[in-house]
Amino acid sequence: MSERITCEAFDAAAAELAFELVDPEARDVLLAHAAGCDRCRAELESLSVTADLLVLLAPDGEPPMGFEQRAVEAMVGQRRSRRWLMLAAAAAVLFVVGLGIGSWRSHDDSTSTFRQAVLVDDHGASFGSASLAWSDDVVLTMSLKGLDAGDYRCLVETSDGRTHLVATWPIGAEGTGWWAVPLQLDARSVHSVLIQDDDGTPVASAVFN
Amino acid sequence: MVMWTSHVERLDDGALLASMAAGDANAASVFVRRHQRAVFGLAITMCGDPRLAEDVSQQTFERVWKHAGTYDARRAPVRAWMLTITRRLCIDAFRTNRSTPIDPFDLSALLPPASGSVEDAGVARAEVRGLRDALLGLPPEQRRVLLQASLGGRTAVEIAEIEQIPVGTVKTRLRLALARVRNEVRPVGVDDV
Repeated sequence: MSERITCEAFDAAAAELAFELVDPEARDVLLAHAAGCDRCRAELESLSVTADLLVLLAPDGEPPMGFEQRAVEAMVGQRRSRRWLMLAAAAAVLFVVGLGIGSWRSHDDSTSTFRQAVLVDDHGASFGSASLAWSDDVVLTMSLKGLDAGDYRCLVETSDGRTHLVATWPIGAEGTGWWAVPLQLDARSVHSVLIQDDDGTPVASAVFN
Repeated sequence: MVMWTSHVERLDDGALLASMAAGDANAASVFVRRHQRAVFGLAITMCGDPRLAEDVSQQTFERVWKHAGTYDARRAPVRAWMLTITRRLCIDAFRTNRSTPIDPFDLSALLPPASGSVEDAGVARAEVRGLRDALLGLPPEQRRVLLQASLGGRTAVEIAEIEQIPVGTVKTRLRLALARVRNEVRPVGVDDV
């Protein structure tokens, strides 16, 4: 049923496909060819990466007055439905560690607070940073770099001396990653964050106070 | 080792996305503030209609919020990923609304970029300059076709009508131009923030 094409025919349309400018029928034929041809699949991938970068050259423009507020309200308006998706995704981790996700309440920028600390090992080498932001909800965000590939555990130590396993996250071969997880803890009680490898060996920590 | 700040502005783009994926509205607010000019700039460039551009820009941020957890740093910098969303929405919008994209003769005037905000957002200056230089190094007829496909969102057939040349010629120029830019621009690293 599906039309077969040659690599030469694929080449002729590859750039247009990379810009996502071909009609659905032609796209299906081209993608079917790429799926069975390593050479053409690699060509399409590399052209697509370049095509996606060209948008960086567009000039900036000043949006209309009030755009920022309208955009944020539209985003946060999706929050309720997102909440259920997030609950489902986080349920496994949160069940294990005994941490929960707080209920959603109205957002108020004026009450937000933020702390950030550098993640360092015992020798002072930096592995990124840990950030704690809270207003109605408490969110821990990790920016990581320089790690070996593997699974890492993130633990939060509170001022009462207790340690809470927040999650286990993977780091790929590139050694970088961004993690974020909501906490049901009093943000002011969070003393430090610890990163361990999957053997439980401490890798780096960030002390907030 | 402790840095205190009253705002989430200190988070890099990747961390903001991670926070947004976790449902942090503060991060969303900072993200919009940081990138709204880039998004609106691309939207108005492609759509030409301020009202349509605003709609597209707002939809872009809604999609970023919705799909923040799917961002893959190995593929593109955050800004390129976000603007690719804008570009797709623009193409959908002006095909649906039949608005008139920017005149292709104006597209070449977009080089070099009109502002420094790309650098401000953390994308390495040398990499953006390399991209721009690669375009400027193309034969003018190839550069025009490439810009019409990229920032103009025009198909090969549409470009052929504008340029009064065969569709096959457009496809050849587009392929040669994109391949040449690819070969001259090294991949942008993931540490774009």
